[in-house]
Amino acid sequence: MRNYRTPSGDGSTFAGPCEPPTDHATDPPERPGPRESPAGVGYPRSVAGQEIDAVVVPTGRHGLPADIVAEHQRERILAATIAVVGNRGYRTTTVDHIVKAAKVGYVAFYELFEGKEDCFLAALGRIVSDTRTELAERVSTELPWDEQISGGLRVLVELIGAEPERARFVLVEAQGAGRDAYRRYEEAMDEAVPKLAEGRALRSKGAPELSAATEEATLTGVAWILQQMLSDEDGSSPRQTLVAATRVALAPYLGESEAAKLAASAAKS
Amino acid sequence: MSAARERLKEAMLELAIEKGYEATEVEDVVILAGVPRAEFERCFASKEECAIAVFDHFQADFETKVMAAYASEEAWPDNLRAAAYAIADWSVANPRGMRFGTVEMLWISEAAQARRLHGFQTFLGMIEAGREAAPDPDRVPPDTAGRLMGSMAEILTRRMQGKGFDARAFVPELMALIVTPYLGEEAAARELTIPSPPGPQEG
Repeated sequence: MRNYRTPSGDGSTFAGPCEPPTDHATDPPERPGPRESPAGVGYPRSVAGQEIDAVVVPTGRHGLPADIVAEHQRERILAATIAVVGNRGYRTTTVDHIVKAAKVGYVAFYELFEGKEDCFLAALGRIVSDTRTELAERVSTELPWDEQISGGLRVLVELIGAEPERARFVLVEAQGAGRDAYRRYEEAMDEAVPKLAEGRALRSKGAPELSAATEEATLTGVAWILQQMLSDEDGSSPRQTLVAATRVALAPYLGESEAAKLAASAAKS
Repeated sequence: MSAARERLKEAMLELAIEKGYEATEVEDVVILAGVPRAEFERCFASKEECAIAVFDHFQADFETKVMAAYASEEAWPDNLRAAAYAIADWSVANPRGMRFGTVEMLWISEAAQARRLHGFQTFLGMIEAGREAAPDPDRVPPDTAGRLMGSMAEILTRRMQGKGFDARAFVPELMALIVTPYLGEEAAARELTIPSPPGPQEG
């Protein structure tokens, strides 16, 4: 089953007759005011106040086979985790918040997950794998290298705009959710290293050797730029973000001015 | 500054690195410190407060040394390079402090994350000073310093989770990466050839 978001990307999950949840587990905690600084680990959280669009499955008794029910419950739990953590942050989120938002019982939760961290890692893994699939489907490896890079970044910028909570989960929350979550985040980022490193072959013969940390620096720099989309106060348009990110990604391999030119034209198309 | 408070902070540091902050109980801290529980409660309102006190202690020393190094050179990027070596030397002299500040502080609380970030932001100005040194300041994208700081912070955090990070050896690479958007590729390549200054033991 493909997952709990619609291709329309409007953030809603399966629309249906179920009412949106009204329990207060998802209310934002009291905060002094909107964020006035960029997004990232350590920056203040914005007052989001979003409602969870619960995966709609009839709750209560129904004659469905147990494994289908469990699968739907799992989806609800993952969706709820992303929404609640987006609102409260990982540290203050509890299993109680999650089960209430997902409208599942504790027993059902603990049959599927060992606890908060396990559930968080599952949600993280899901978002990463969905993103990987999206990129593979939408960016052809037949394209010239620079177009693969700018094309991939375009997909990421679109995903962040369409589903900011899922983006926040990976780009911000994962690093703060403990050792294992950090490692998974790192591994997800590092998946892009081989593709980036293909750019090394495009450097002119006389150019100095790139340092070993180039891909890492490039990826972390691009991640920072993408994180800024999640800030309320960031004034950049998605197009500007795409230009900035593309420029940073291409510059070490193609040079600053070529990167700037390609970034500007990639964002136009 | 009471001896008990110092012992408690030392114990917190040791335990946070060894088994992680989350798995550490106040009880573990007081036992390792050899200090009564009541004394802990006199010194700190919470486990979190104790951990943040550990960070603040290191941060103050770290900042003083790094800023002094930056001030010891006139021109950019010489001053930044001096600061980078000061960071490396501090990391070698205070491996647990560096580890705690970059890594463990991520997993304590949002307040701790904010403190940690604030610590990194000390360097924004030092990086942004490159804009004035750039041949064409207007061509340098506006959030370059933020992006470089974010990138360097993450690289450092990654390195500190492993073992055997040679901080001094990394400085030329770090300088090359930072210098590129301000001064260009040739200046960056030169950074890789600049020999490291004598270390604190040698000089």
